[in-house]
Amino acid sequence: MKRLGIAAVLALVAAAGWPTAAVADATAETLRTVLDKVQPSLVIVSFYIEADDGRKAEARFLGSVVGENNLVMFTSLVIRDNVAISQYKDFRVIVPGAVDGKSYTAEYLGKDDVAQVAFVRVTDPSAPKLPPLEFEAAELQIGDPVVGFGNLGEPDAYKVMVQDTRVQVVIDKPFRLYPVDGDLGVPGTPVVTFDGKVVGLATIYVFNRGTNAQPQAGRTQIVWPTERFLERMKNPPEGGQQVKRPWMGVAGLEAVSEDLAEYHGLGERRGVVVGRIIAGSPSDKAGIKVEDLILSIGGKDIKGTEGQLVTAFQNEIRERKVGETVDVEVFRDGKVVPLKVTLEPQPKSEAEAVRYRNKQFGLGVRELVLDDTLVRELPNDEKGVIVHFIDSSGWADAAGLSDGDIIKKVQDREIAGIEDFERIFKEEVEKKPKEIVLFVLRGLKDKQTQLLRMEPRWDAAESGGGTSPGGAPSEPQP
Amino acid sequence: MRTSHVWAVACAALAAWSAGCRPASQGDERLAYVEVENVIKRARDMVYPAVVRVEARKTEYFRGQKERVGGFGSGVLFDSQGHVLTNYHVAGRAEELSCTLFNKERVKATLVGADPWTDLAVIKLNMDEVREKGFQITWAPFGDSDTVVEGDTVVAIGSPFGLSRSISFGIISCHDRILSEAMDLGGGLETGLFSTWLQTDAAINPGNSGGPLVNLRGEVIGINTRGGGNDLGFAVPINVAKNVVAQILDTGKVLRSTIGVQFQALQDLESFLDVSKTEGAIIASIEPDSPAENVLQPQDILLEYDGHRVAGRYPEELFELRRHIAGTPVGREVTLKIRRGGEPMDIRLTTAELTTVRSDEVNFEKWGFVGQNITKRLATRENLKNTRGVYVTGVRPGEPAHKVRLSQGDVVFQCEQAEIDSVEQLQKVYDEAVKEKKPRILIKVWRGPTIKVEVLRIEYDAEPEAAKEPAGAESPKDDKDGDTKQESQRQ
Repeated sequence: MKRLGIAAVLALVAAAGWPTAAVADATAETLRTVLDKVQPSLVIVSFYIEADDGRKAEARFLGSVVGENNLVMFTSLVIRDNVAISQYKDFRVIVPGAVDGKSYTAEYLGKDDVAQVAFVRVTDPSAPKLPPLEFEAAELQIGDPVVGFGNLGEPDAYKVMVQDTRVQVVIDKPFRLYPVDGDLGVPGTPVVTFDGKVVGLATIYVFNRGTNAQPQAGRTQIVWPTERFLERMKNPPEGGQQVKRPWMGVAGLEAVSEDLAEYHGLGERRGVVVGRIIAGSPSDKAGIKVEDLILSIGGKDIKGTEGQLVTAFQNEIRERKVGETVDVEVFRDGKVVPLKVTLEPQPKSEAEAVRYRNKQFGLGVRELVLDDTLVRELPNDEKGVIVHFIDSSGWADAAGLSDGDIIKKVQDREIAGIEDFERIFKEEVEKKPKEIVLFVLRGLKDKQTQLLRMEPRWDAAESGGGTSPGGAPSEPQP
Repeated sequence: MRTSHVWAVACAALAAWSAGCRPASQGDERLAYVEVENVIKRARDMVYPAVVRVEARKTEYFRGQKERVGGFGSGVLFDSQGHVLTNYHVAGRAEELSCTLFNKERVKATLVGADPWTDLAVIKLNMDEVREKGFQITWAPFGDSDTVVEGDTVVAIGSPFGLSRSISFGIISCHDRILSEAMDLGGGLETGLFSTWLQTDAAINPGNSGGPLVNLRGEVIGINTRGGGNDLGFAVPINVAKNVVAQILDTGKVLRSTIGVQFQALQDLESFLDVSKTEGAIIASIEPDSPAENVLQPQDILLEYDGHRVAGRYPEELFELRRHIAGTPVGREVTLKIRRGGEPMDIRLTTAELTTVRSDEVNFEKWGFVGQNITKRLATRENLKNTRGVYVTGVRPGEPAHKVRLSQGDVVFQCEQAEIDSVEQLQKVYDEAVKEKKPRILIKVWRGPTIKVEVLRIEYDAEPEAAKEPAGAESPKDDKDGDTKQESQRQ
């Protein structure tokens, strides 16, 4: 990023050094026009991510004003799923190129991973009213030129850079995407056609460029078209949460191959094979079974090449509404069986899991979410909390506790969930015992339980004082 | 290239050693040194003629592809019938074996039995061949590894990097070393759970494996098994080997019992568990579907096993405890005295046979994968529902199974509407399908908790019997030898 910035500066200096007689072609004129149009709506979203060990890292991304009252949209790729939203701090918005370099406080509204957008709203009353960009849905063709944006860093007042590239290929299934043959700028920034239409966002997409048997992932910059996020832009989330998309609770999906379709005499029909049903999920309640072939959803057949079927199906679910009841046709024992599934919101994610951290012990735990139990092949309602952070200088680390351990008991007291853990742990710590013994479950497949003994050094902790775990000096570990 | 390098280093070291040890001053020091040298040479004379270089060839599957793998190691003759003790990782699963003796004669040998848990194997020289060639064999006596202490002088004899008849010299660095990291003999085969190691600084390099560690009385006290570089070598204590050898000579295999628990050392947990005296061992974990399931609980303290008091204060003692339990006859009802929540209790359970994760692989050639039966141990390690089905150990690229993305670790449980419990059953379905030239095969597998349903598309050659596999497949195998070795090193 920085290197790019320097290169760009050099390029600008070089350009400025040319005599004014240099030929300005039509493209140059277009780029300037487009930049003039878009620039007033471009802003920098700045925030800090506080890691589990308390260290803060700054992040700054170019985004754009997309609604009244300074609603700002940027890419959701930078709001990670394994970090609690409470660890994202101090959201601010900076106007690039402003001479005063002032930043304005903002509130994080939330994100939608499917639409790939996240939102903040400027809350600072002294902030100027910025003009929102008008996005529109438009179909691009191969070869169409498009304009993207980047920005310089703080020393250069975040000045906006402009660049153009062309649509390389048009992807149409399960939805339209436009890979480009060059640099499109910072993910989450607007993409504008030469006639000034704001048609999407720049983003990075991973395509399978190999065969099904030997996938080869390739990262490409693409135009993420307006229709992917327009609805969300009009109805931005609130309260800093991930937007819940509809969920059916089927997993281990595989495409119905040509051979499988032929074997079952399905003719031209295709679909997906259900590999696993999450207990208690909508599909479980609807009576979908493992090994069922899902052929249609909402009266629409699932179509596409073998490599497209699973995403086509998933997309059909995501694009619906939570609470909607959809018709599903499954093929089972030689017959087509019609079923109705009522879609529920996605279960809690790791980022949403409630956390508890004890600095003295150098220990961070969080509640178990569905993904944890799926990965470990445990029952959905497994009791306990999961360790997600161990400070290498803390008492928990010395006891041999590690990331991913599930704590089942503290001092022989059963732990049902995170509230339980916090209460019991605090009660036990209050007693200042010479040891706190945990009963933990470890391992993904071959799981084993064991006792781990944490030995607090209360005297050292008190004299050492402060936040440094274990009373140890807070020097970097070798 | 590599060997010559090792040679150069070895020669330089030897020169330095002899130069450094040439007595420069007092005569009594010289005398003492000569004395030490004589003792070492006496020990050498007792064992050196009994040490052999073992050459082994075996069939392995790499990604479903049959390969012949060659390797070598060391071994030691221990009786007049020509039995040789070596490592499992040298001779286990070998189909062709030969030994080069100290007199440079090469003699064919056969595998008598092998035990991956202790990484030991017994092979037998072809004694007819020995007689035909007209020489006598010499064998080495076993010592008592329980009396070995740190500082004992030892020599290691074997074929480091294939350099047969090499001797190295050092002391016992630790008599009961535990190596905590998981030991894998390839294919997930576990080892090292039932014994601690004799650690020595006598040089042990690849190729020393299976050779003897010898005390100055000329007795074998260990089988050199692992070299860590940096003067860290590890030998299986001979007392552990004695029991293994006896069972192999008796029945050709080693039977062990399990009760399905993992132990934890008591140390530092006495007050939490309210154990006044430090006796017993903590039962930390219970394996699913094992004799201990629903009978024992985590945090129970095992005080007595089948009439024997249990010591488990230190991790080192858990090896002895595990070995003791493993030594119980399979299927025997045993009484365990335990303490649970402060209360003493008697528990009765019946021991089960301890299996390894591996069993014979079967090649489903036309379908493009290799599979094996599921042992109890494999089911535990891989969290499989039960021991039913065929565990896929390898999928050959480009073949039907690969095209539908079957992968290592999948469990075939249904094929062509037939429930599959074992490789024998799948073999039957396979043979029938091949005979009838079925073009499409419906196959269902478990992948962890997920079911995968696929149809294999099978092509049959125009001329059915003409293209018999072995003849065509044999010749390229030798060409691939170099690759195979590389592959096995990566494992």
